[in-house]
Amino acid sequence: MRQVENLRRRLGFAVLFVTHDMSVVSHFSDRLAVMYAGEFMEIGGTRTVFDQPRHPYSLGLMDAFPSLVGARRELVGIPGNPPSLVSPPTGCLFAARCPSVTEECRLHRPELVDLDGHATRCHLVNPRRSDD
Amino acid sequence: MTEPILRVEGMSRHFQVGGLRSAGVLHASDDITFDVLPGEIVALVGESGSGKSTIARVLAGLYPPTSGRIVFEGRTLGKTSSRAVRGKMPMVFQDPFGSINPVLRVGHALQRSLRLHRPDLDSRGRLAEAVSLVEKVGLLPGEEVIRRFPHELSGGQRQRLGFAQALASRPSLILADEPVSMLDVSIRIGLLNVMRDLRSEGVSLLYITHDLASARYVADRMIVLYAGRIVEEGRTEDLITRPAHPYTRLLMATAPDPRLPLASDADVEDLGEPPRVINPGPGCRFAPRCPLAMDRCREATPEFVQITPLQRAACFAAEEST
Ligand SMILES: Nc1ncnc2c1ncn2[C@@H]1O[C@H](COP(=O)(O)OP(=O)(O)O)[C@@H](O)[C@H]1O
Ligand code: SF4
Ligand code: SF4
Ligand SMILES: [Mg+2]
Repeated sequence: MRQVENLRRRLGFAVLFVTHDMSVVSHFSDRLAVMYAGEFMEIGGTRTVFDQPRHPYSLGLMDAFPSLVGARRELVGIPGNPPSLVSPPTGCLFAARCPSVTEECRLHRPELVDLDGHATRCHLVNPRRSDD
Repeated sequence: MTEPILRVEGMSRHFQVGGLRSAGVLHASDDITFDVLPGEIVALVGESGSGKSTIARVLAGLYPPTSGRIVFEGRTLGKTSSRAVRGKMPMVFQDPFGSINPVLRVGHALQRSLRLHRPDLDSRGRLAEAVSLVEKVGLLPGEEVIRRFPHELSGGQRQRLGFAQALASRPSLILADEPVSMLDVSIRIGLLNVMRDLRSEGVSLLYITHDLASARYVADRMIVLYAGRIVEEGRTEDLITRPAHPYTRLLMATAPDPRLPLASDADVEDLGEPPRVINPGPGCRFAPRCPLAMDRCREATPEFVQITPLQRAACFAAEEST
């Protein structure tokens, strides 16, 4: 696990546990947490998060990895840069880069909401009740 | 045939290691031979410790080869390369601060190297060129970016600036040693796209990486290193679809890919790291980990066999099957 932690440090703060040592990851983790700007954006079963990501950041990440299989195609990843951690934005930390951003996202920081053991921090996935 | 921009011929670089009683010679790279053609992107791929940075540093003139020669734009490089040669073959490092000056404003640093390498430009021309350089690597708007200090940029933006700085000397070949490995995954792809776009600038690129998938994404041709030696070389798609060397196949099998089912522990054994090669004897350096190893692999060093006119592999098993 220390090795995984080292990898996380080495790869930076936003890490999908994809390392060249997949066996270590699957060995130590059957759950996967996707972090962005220091916050957990999505947590769930490793395979579930890979196969059915819900958070827009996780979706973007899936399009940020070149692959050895299939045709070589142009990837765009996630345009933009992570927010400043010194003066983070008020609302969702991913708002500045999110293709699905709404006014509400800029105003309110979403909570991490657990549905069926798969938790996501996003207003799109977990709409706020109007009486909040 | 097109003349290569760079030709590396039988280049080896060794280091003395150990103390008085345990002194040895570490073979960081051995008998490295390859070409880079004009406008071509070549990837040098291998695990950590396989000798990639050593090759880059020898090419950049940071230290001389132990033996062999390097021919750049038709001329054999001497012990120390001149500033003009270094401008023609600049290096972008893993840490962007390796290639940019932290105390100068972006525009100031760029104009400084333009003054050195672009005598054809006057001061207004240099300013315009500095703006155009940062915009070429996707730093927009250029007029604003050139007024910033490097620390005001994000890691990804600084690494783009490293490429702008490299382009300022109108290079024919950029050496990029793990340029994206310190970046957040979400911005890596943007930088890989910047590298791919260098093709339209007519610049060649030697992209050094441990990441086979990103090498496939940017490179026309790939060179695979193991323990200081080239084990396979070929056009990217040929190598990916028909790898001939057992080590290339192992690298492919262990490459991460979030879109594929997770490999089970049985499928993928721990890659570990290539051995540190000290006072080596003959034999294939991959033999201890090779599923196809035969007696002869431990007795003699495999020579290259041409798999196709454009693909070669240094392996006895590949030789027997061609
Ligand atoms: N200056 C040096 N002195 C001694 N050994 C070195 C030196 N530079 C590199 N090496 C050794 O050479 C081998 C290859 O290193 P390097 O070229 O940095 O590999 P890579 O860039 O592929 O990780 C390693 O075993 C490393 O320890
Ligand atoms: S909360 Fe809004 S901005 Fe944040 S990820 Fe969800 S949709 Fe995008
Ligand atoms: S030469 Fe022998 S040990 Fe080396 S890669 Fe080929 S089969 Fe394996
Ligand atoms: Mg290195």
